[in-house]
Amino acid sequence: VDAYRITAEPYYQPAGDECALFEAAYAQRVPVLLKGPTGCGKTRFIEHMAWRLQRALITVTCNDDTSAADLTGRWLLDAQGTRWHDGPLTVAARTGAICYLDELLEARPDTTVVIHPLTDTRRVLPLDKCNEMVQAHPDFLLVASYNPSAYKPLKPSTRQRFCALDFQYPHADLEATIVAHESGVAPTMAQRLVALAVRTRRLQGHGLDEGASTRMLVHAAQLIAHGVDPSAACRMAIATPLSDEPEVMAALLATVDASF
Amino acid sequence: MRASIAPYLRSLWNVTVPLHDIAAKEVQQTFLSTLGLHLPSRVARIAPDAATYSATDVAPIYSPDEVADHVPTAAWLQATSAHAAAHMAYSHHQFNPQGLQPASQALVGLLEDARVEWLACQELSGLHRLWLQFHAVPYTQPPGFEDLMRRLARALLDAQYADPHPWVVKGRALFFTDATQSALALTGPHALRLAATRLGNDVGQMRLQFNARLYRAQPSYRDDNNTLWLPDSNRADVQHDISAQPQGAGAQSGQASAVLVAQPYRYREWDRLVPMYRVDWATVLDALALPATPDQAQDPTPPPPMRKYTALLLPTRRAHLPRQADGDELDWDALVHAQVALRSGQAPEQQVYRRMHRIACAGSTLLLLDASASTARVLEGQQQSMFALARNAAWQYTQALGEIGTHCAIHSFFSDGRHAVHYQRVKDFHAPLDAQCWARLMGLQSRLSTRLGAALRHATQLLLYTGSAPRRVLLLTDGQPHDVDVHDPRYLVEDARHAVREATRLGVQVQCLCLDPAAVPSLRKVFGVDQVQALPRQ
Repeated sequence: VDAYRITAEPYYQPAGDECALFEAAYAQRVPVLLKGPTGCGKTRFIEHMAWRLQRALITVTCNDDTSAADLTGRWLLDAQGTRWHDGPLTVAARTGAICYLDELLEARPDTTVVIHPLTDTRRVLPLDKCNEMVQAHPDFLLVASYNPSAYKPLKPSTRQRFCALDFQYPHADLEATIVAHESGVAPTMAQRLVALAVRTRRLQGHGLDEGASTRMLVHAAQLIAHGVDPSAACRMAIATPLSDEPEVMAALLATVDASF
Repeated sequence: MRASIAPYLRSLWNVTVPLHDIAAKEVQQTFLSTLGLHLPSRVARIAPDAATYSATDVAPIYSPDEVADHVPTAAWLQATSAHAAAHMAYSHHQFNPQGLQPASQALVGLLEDARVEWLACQELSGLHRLWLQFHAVPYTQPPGFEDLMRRLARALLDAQYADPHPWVVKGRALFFTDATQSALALTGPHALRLAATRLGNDVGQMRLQFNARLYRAQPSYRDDNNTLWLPDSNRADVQHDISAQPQGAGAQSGQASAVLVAQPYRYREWDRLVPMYRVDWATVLDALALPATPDQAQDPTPPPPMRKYTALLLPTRRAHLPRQADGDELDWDALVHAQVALRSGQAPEQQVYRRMHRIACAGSTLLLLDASASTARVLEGQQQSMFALARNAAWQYTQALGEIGTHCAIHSFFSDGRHAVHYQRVKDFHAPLDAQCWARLMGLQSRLSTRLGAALRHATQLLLYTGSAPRRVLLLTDGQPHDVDVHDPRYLVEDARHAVREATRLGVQVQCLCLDPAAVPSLRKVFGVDQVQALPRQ
């Protein structure tokens, strides 16, 4: 499990008191849900907190094919016969790591039910396939993230087992600081990128499901730091990936042209 | 390109303004009105690149091709809409024309145009490049007033542009505090008006002619600045004759109510011109349908189930098929069994893969019948009206789906403007398909219009709250949506397309069974190519 430990401090710029709140939740071992749009810093936050709390971080990126066995484990074959192989959730529960289920909503609803016994006072993980009841390590914590704009509701029975932190894009100055730090561009260029992101976010619900994320801005800024023309970098990293609708894309490209 | 203008303006300054096409080809200038932004369908050709001109060049003479009108280019549309939006973002003062000569009025417009563009360029530097390409300047000798206006407009936008004419130099000095054009000298509307008056007086002293009626703000992308002036002002230039797009004309009453006490639900509606949702725009009146009255012709015997048709439109879901001979990945359980068989000296099974597949499943299906007046037509070769066929098909289909465990509901709708989308429930999901349902189904009648988007949104909500997954709306309709208070033929089509998209995002599949085979291609634009089929003749 040491392979899952984070040795260097991941850069994270707090936007409020989310670090202190998370530490309090961890102290009480209350499962935490991280809500927020894509690319706003949820994963970076949990990496930072795992480093700060000196816990291993086991991440599972959920998708619509993620099954309960992908989390708990399965029987495998080897030369001697069949062998039980713990899944990432089981490993985390046994060793006292933080298990981070990224994009929980993407997993099938029946899959998410497997976490229920771990998230109440029982703190156990039943492994019916190998007839074992895993008692969670005292240091174990379950953290899940999801994007509420994904048009899929989270089951109330799952939702009510967590306390939650709501993440939004940082305010403009802070976001510019993050973009400048992550990419190495000048602060003025970072501010111009953030102004462009704010413009794309105005189209949310009007052709776009979500505007440009902080991660997209960092990508664009990295291209600029590499020597790419700012306008070309933003077309490539922001306008073109954001939408496939011809009208929206034309509007985004024109906005990029207007911005640089 | 025009469709991208609305999101473009929203992203630039969060400006939401209805866009209108100017039908008259002779009106070649953009203008703002209380109705929104009006964009011309033709504009005069402009000289291609202003950067190629300088004060020392030989005066260019515009060729006939250059002044012939043409369809606006994408760049021109962006330039003109961004300029108009800059007015909406930065022009917050309306001038009183009293006491101003016509030339000074034109100069107020020019200086205000330059001011909003300068402010816009401080925020969005790329707009400078966009606008500058249209600032070609003619160097006729001696220059007329409009020539000087174009040169001043260029000078106020382009700090690199050198113009020796004293009037242009004076205009620049009045407008900016320094030669680099980094700060405005005009501190407010009063200062701007004063500067325009001084420049206008100079025009008078130069004895330059100015015809206010023929004057058009230049370059061509700039709007007519009509909104800069107080509404009742007696100005010299042209006032536009704008005709309103009738919207929300209100429900026309008078039709007999076919429903019991209706529960109103409000839904948003997509306005393609803005484009954005109009919140709580359409009212759906939901009620149980009334049974057929004795005087209504009623078929006493319901038709038999349509089993042959069930397989065609059976709801499906994605699932893993285990133990396949080939597939995307290994089936671990099958592998283990194969190894166990090998080690116990038996021949192992070869089917050790699994793959994704669509399989038929029960779930819930809401059959939504379009009961608008147009479905009362009898198609050639048919004995019954389209609506009678749809009622029978809905009954048969519900019977057949019920036999395989699918929960079915039969609902119907017609509309009378946005305030009254009548939604009638014949059978709910868990209600039995009995004689009362048949009587209610027979009680439905074709009438009024088709506000499809609102009905689809309501059906989607009902499915989400009462139906089991996978959920599906199966619409039986004869063609395009239409309503009495909507005169834009694309408005309700676009709204319906958005309603389908919203339903899909919520996990509700929307399919369409078309009663009129001729309408299938147009409906595919709303529902998607694979989601529309024609109702079979038999």
